[in-house]
Amino acid sequence: MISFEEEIQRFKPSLDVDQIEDAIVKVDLTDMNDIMTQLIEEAAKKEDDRR
Amino acid sequence: MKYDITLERIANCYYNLGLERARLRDLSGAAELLKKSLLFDKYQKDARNLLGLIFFECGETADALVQWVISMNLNPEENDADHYLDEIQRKPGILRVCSDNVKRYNQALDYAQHNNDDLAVMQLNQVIVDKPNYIKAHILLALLYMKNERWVKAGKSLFKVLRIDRNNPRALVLMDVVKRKTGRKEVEQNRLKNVFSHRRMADDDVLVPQEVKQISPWAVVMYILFGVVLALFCFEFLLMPARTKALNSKNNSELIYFAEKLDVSNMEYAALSEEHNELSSRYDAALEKLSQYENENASFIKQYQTLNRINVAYESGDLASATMLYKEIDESTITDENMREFYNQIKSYMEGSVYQMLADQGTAAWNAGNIGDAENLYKLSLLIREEPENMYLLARLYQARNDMAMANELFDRVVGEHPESPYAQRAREARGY
Repeated sequence: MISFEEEIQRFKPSLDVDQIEDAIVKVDLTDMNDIMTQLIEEAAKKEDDRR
Repeated sequence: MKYDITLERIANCYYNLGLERARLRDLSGAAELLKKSLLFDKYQKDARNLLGLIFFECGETADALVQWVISMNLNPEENDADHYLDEIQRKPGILRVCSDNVKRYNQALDYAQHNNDDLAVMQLNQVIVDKPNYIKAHILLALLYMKNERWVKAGKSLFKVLRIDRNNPRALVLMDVVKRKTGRKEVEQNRLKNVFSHRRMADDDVLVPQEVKQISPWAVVMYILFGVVLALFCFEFLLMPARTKALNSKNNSELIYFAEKLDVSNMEYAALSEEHNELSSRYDAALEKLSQYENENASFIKQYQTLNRINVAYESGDLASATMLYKEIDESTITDENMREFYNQIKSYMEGSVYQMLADQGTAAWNAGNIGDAENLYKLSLLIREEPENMYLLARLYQARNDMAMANELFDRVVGEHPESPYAQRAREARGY
């Protein structure tokens, strides 16, 4: 059964138009490509360290 | 690198799936797929733009703007986001309204989270009026209605959400509760059951007729009578009033039509009657005037003829006729200038000399012993002009004829009417006082 109080508490305030700039800055634009690149770079670094 | 292309393909697949969902109005599902697409390739501008559009459609304008701005930053060339941002910026009122609505929604959320349900409901209703596709507001409103067990209203709000976003998970869950509470769930289940329970008849299926009850003849008669009574009842109480009303209405409209026509006719009659009266009075006046002219004309001719006859009689020496005709003329009726001149001319010789000529002729007749002629001539003279001398002479003539009454009357008139005359004293003496 739904608990109305819990449901209501789960709602988050909407993003206001005034806060767009902050929101854009805070958006995490990391995609799978970035992650893969990072992983490859780390792997290469480890390889260099081992040598 | 090779994994770049693979990631782009995965992102593109997710975008296609998202687009398909969006076309089916499954906005929540589409948004999830588009987010996954962007997770694989943040440069997938179509996915980001579509995600912005979905946010905009759901009433989240600020989130939509965030996506479009990022999209423009990542892909500035030939990007539809530019067009969307232009559209928003061209109407600055939209942003102001959106900002106000978001503030009111946040305020309502605050009220709801602090148990001020009534205020929250009021705020949310206002938000929905301004922004009917604001899904979060609808869902929160539905939740508040459900909290207060206003299931029908909650159902209406959720129905609106599901029309915008067909598979909104939160709305679906809440709608399920609402349906269970209102009994709608069972109805739908039964309907579904009936729909899927139909099957085609096989060749060897047999239709079993329902049991036919044996009805007695009396019952049949009773049923028929009941039917007749019911028909009469329907006719009397359902059909007749409508029919009567229609007839009354028709009669009333006809009555009104004829009454109006009668009014118009009456007005026309009154106008014609008035015109007739006016023309009659004008005709009477004209007739009277004509008659007056005729009378005046006749009078004029008669006067002229009389004056002419007087003149002729005078010139021929017939003074008696001239005198009689002269007395017939009423001076006041002569209006014509020429006629009056003619009359004055006659008057001057009649009252200037003729009267005396008559008196002289009377005296001569008396002297000749013709008393009758003398009396007439004196009388004619007096008709023209009541000269005291001639009155006295006529009185003396009466006295001589022993007609004392007439004589005395004339003597009295001489004394009374001409007291300064020398004949007054003589009349007094002749009268004896």
